[in-house]
Amino acid sequence: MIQLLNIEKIYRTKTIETTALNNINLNIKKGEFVAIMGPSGCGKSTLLNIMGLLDVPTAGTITMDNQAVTSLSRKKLAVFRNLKLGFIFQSYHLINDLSVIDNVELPLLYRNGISGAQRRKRALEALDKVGLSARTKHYPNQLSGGQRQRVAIARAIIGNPEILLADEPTGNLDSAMGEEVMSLMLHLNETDGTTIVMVTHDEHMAKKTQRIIHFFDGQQIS
Amino acid sequence: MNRKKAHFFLLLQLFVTFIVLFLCIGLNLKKFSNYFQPLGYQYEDTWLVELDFQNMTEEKKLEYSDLIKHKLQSIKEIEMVSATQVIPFYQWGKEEKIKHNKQVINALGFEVDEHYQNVLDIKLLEGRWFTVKDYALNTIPIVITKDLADRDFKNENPVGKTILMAGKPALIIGISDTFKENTAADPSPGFFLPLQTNPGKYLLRSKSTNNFQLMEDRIRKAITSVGPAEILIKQNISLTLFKKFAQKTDYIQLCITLIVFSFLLINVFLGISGVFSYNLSKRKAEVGLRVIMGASPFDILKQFLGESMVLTTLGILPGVLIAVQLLIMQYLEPYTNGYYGAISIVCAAAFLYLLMLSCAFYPSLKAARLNPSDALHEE
Repeated sequence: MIQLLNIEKIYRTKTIETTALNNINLNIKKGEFVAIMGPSGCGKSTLLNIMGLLDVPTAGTITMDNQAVTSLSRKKLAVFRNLKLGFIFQSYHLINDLSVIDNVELPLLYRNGISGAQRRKRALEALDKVGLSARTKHYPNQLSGGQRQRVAIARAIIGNPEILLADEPTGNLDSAMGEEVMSLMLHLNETDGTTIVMVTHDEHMAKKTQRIIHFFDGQQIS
Repeated sequence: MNRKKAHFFLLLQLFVTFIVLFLCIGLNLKKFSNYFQPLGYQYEDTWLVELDFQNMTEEKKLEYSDLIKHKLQSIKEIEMVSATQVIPFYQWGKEEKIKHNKQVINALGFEVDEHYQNVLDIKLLEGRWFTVKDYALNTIPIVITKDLADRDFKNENPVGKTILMAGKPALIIGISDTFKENTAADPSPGFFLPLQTNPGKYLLRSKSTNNFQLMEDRIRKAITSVGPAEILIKQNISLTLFKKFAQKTDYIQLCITLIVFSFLLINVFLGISGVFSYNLSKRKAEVGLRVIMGASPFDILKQFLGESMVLTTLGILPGVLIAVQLLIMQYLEPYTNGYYGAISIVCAAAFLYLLMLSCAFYPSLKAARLNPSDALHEE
């Protein structure tokens, strides 16, 4: 499903050159739930950004769903992200000026051929899946952290993505809320077969996934 | 969208700018269009001689009036002479109240003599001009302008009608073509009536000449030959020069308006650009998120330009309602009317939409080019 071949990411300024990722080779199968672990600054988030097509590697190739994506234009990347990828962030990244349902509808706004009524119907279904169908008219600042993350999950799954990229999704939540969010992702992986790549510091959460990849200083160590 | 508070100053600025633009365009547009309307008379080769009779009595002044006219007429370069109170580009008619069909009407009264029409070559559309014979009648003979006829005698032929002027009956004997004070002025709804006193002003129609000095000398000699030392020449000048002075005043007014207008626009442009850039800089994380969710750079550009158009509409909408109200209530008459008012509403709105687009374009383009992961971490 996701193939990373000889991926390198180097950040250059006039005086300093920092290697964030060094010769990464990774193969994630369809329907797999993978956790990426490592200390802060080891390149986990950079790797997730590259997998999410938000950042371009300095060297190497990425193949997703049998398609080489490294050379796609910005417009094609946007379409690919919209159709194939879902994102969950540690700090939720909801738009505070939009209601819960409008936040969830967001990815479908950029997809052609979906009417307003269809968007609304699918947003309600997604919110129902995460148990928040009673909060559609609320604004993000009226919700708890766990509820916000569930809205973010609903937003991530509304477009039925094949790959879900989660950057420390339980990092800002207490253990009960974290468990709740984790069980939601496990459920998505098991029932819908969604491929999930999760960056986490929490070993307890990581152990619930099918595979743990360890990173250190920009390199994959296991 | 729940950003009304954040956009309040932007909306206020748009509203105020719309009102200023509407007034500026509306008031100048009508004036500008007046330049293309005919004056209704010929002013070339026409001279004004204004005399000062000092302490001379009215009877004596009247006594000398005909003699002065005769002396001026005897100059070989002069074709016609008229004694008058009304001098184009210099001194216009007086506001009078006339009564017609039990209604009191305001109109300008132009006190002139029987030669005035020929001196200025005023076209008569109907009827005739008054003559010396008319002065012996009990009614005052008047010639109304086309604009007065159009305004107050819509469904009737005014010629032959008697109206009341300061309680005295006045008979309409003719209708003249349009009559304007100067090129920028509106046509005057008014009427010509015979002179009541000697105003000391004479309009002279000369044969075409470029030798102004010679003409001035001949006029001075003719006046001196009348006799009494107390008759002094206040001014002796061609109407072409008066027109130049009047136009100069118009140009100065136009320049001041343009300078104020440009200054206002520069301020508004900088203000709106600043507010828009600031608002967008506060929404970088949102831009990053939208790009991550699948928005293309064009989607981002389209969204922010679209928002700027919505904001413009919200900002100018109250202004449009006020402007329409002012036009319906005719508060801006005679400076502008419904036709020019409607044009100025459209122009002011179109101008603000363009201004807002140009203010919003660069910040929106910058937002569309943001790296999504960097933008997301701006929060």
